[in-house]
Amino acid sequence: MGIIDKNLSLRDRNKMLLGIWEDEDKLVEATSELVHAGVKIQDVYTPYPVHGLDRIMGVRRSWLSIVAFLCGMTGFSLAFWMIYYMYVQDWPIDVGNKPVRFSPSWVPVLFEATVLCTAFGMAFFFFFRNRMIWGIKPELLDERQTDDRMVIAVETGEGVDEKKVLKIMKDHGAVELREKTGGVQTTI
Amino acid sequence: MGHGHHKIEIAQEQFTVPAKAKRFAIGLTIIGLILAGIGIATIDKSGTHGHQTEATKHEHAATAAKGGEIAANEHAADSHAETAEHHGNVENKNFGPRAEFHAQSKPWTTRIWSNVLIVGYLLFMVSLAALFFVAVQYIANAGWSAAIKRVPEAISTFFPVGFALAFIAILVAKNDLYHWVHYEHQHLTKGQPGFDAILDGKSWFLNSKMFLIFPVVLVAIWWLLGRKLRSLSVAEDSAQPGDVTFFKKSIRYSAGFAVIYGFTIAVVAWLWMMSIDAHWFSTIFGVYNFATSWVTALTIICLFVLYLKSQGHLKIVSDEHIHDLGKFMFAFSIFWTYIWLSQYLLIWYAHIPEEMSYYQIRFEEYKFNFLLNVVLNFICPFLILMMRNAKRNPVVLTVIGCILIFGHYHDVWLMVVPGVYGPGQQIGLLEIGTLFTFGGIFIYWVLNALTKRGLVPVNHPYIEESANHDVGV
Amino acid sequence: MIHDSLIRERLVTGGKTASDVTRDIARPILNKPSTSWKVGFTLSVIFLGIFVLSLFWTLWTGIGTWNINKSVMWGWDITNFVFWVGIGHAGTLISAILLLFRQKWRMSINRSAEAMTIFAVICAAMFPVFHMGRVWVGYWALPLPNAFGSLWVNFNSPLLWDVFAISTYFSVSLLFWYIGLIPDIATIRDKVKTKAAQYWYRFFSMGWTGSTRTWARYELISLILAGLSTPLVLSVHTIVSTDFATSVIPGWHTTIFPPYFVAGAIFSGFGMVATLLVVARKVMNYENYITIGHLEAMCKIIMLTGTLVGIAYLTEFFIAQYSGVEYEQYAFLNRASGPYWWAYWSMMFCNLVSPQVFWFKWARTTPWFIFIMSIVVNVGMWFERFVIIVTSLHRDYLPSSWVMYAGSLTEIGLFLGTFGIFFTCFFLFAKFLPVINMSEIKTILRNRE
Repeated sequence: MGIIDKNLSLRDRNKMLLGIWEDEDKLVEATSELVHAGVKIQDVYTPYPVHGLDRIMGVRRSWLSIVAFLCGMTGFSLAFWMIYYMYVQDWPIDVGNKPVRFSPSWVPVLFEATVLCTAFGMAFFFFFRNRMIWGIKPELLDERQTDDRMVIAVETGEGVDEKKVLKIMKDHGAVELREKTGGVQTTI
Repeated sequence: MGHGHHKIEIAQEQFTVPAKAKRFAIGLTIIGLILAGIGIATIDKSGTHGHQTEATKHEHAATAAKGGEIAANEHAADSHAETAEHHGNVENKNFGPRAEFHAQSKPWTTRIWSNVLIVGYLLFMVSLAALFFVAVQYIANAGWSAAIKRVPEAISTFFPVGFALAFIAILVAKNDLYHWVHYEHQHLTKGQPGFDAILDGKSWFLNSKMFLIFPVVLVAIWWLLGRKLRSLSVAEDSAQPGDVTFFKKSIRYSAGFAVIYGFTIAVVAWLWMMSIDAHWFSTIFGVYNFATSWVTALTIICLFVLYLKSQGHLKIVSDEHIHDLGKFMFAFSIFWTYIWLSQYLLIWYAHIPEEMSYYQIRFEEYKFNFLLNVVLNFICPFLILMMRNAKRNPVVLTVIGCILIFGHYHDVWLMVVPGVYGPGQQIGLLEIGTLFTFGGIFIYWVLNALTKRGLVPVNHPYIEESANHDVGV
Repeated sequence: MIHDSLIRERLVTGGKTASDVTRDIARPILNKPSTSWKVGFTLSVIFLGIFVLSLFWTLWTGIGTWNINKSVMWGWDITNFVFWVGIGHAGTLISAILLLFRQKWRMSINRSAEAMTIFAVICAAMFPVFHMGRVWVGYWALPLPNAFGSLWVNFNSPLLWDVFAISTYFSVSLLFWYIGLIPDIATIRDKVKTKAAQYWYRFFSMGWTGSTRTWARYELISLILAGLSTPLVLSVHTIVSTDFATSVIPGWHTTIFPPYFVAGAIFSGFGMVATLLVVARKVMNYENYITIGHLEAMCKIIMLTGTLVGIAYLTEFFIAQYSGVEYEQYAFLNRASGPYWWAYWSMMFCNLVSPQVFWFKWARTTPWFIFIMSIVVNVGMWFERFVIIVTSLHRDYLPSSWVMYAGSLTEIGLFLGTFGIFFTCFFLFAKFLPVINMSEIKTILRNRE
């Protein structure tokens, strides 16, 4: 598995069917109806996190927590090695008769370094996985999808019954239906 | 979610203690008694504890608490990286003016009473913390916990009993448990041999009247407030649905209780625990005792909820609630460690003799227990409960819960025993036996208290929220 | 589905829809700056000027321009440092600890409180950095090999722990704040009209589209970052407290300092949040988002933390008398009845006594009163640090070194000047970024349907 989530890119896809919603509950209904009908949903775009939608779509739980743990271990080890090298091995300093070997004095620095590595390691993983980078062009399907509208995108192809998809969307409160071929969207 | 969001039925449930549970609780008590009996039979009843007498002959009490200096020299030696750690032999050790107290002859029954004090104090603090849990839920307007609130309510009924246990132990054996009580009874005045200016200067606070009366007054106040909170809670069950008067009143009483508890809980910890090492003092001690009792209370609440769940009760409690209780155990284990480290780090760092004596004896004579304390109460819960699935797994939670309960028992043990006896004690059959005995009584008591009222606060304004609780991510 | 109880107060009033939220909160960014904004910004820049002048004078002449050439060598400088670091703590408390406790009222105020954290930490950092005197070798505080041989930093020193703690806190807070901002920056990106604005908001939005796959990870990373920030925020003020408590100075070396400093930090931070938001909600017309209910919750936290701090004061005082250590006893009696008694009793009044007024509902629900109280809290917390630093240092172990201390004009100028830094940053933030977390607020609009 590559780090970047390939599902996020919309380039080089077949024709896509788009449904637009304005009501969160109806969107959730439509999504679960589509999933029940065996349709593979490309993605659902919402202006705010809709609780439980990822579970309905069957998105696997992210590996972020494991990455965070590994980054934390790395940070802890690096910090331990740093202090050990600088303070015990290379040039021990006797200040106020405090021991140079491992002591409670090490704890604050070890803790801070662990947190720092965990936070930034996890954040970089998050950015890579989500294909997020400064300056990248967003692939928007509707200009109000970051405001108040929600979009369900279904990629067409073999085994996708377009009529059925559109019907489910329409029956469950889609305010607008469109199809997208390449960069061109047409209202149905 | 989404598809078919059915409404969750909220129905009253009545708990009766299953025969198996009764057998378990009584069995635990009996096993405890047997173990304690064996423990008593095998302890040395000859009087003094031979181990430390050697150590104390060399130094006289009048030299005051200079113990830290030895440790300071030792650290100086250690700071040369190559120097092997050489811990001086026992003869060089001096644990301050308590040395005389440690060395003095104590009846063998002191060990029994110190055990009763430890377990009684722990159960008292824990049951009181359970009441504080109830109060906090009201003050914070918490919705999720409404479904489980009868459990901490039931646990909180035990605190007068725990208090009584500790109180009896203190009444009977205070002369042998508390250095300063022993000293007080000698009625020494300035200039007399053995006069201790520090203890003398503390007599305005550390005196028998304060020691016995103040906690009783406090317990009476807490008990009245706790009873009021519980009666409001049970009266709500038969109120009109939508009637929030009981709820509003509960918030007020909770706020009152929380303020009183916040201002006074430290005083009990100072009087009963900190004064065991009467020369020693630490401002964080009250917070530390609170942290210990709070995390243990959360653990015990979680275990009782898991038990009721396994018996098919608390139908509206789901994995989500269990998950949250697991998070609490995890988070407050870290909190305990934070407080533990704050106290230890600051005293270790400043290395002032009058403060060091507390840790010197614990670190040098009880090194295994000192480190075990951190392993049981921090490393185990931290590494295991970090995982999401562990917090949703009843078996893992039960195992960690038992580790935590023993860990915090062990924590209190470490506060008491080195101060009473000096070096050379270990947890033996008597200790385990006492823990089991009173643990069994505690379980029986709480299960019985759970039968006294419905298990579900059906008219609690947040009960529906609680039934639909979801941890989210 | 949200199952909020009917007795809960609405967190957003006025029947707002998602598009209303976008419109209301993006308004200051899309419109030209208002007059009140211009006035406030100008005032802040004037104060910033005072900072620059005082700093210039300090660097030109040397630290001698501060009145710290005596045993009170920390003076106003470290007082201000601890004051500002403390203020920084409310942001992380609101965004991290209240997130873990699922307090939804946090959503209207977390963005601005987090911004405050970052600006307050910048202000705080000024003081120890320039207290070093030769600030151009400030990098010596970092674990780098120095030029005179491989001598490293002293890991046993709490001052070094501070370097790690403050820099970690600043970076992680910035990261947490930025990740929280991304969806909102994307919203703004899709609304702004000018080319330059479109470029920059697109740049910082990192291609955000609101895909459910990203939202799922976003929610998880927010939770884990909150879990990390919680011990982090505790550790920062704990480590600041160890600057004092690891010493053997009477009044400083006391084990309750870590939790007591943390409680004080949250207390002062909430004081500052209340000061800003009571004004901002009025000026920016956000009364439907930052409701009286929000103010009430903040007041309760101010009361709680004020009382905790008060318990710590009483504990300290009690244990000092109990300890039997005459230095400790003297230090505390001297605080209360010595030459700085006025500072001690101001602190006691502002921090322990005055917040008790919030037991009354009227006090918690009257904005102008809350504003006054929040100023009282800020003053009280400044005095707390002043009391701790000055009363303990002005009585040296050597009585011939006993002195009185008052800040010099330069020190006062630096302190007032940091308010310039703080408010300049805050006004810029209010102009260019959404002050309220739009995407979170949108999730709680439908709580009563």
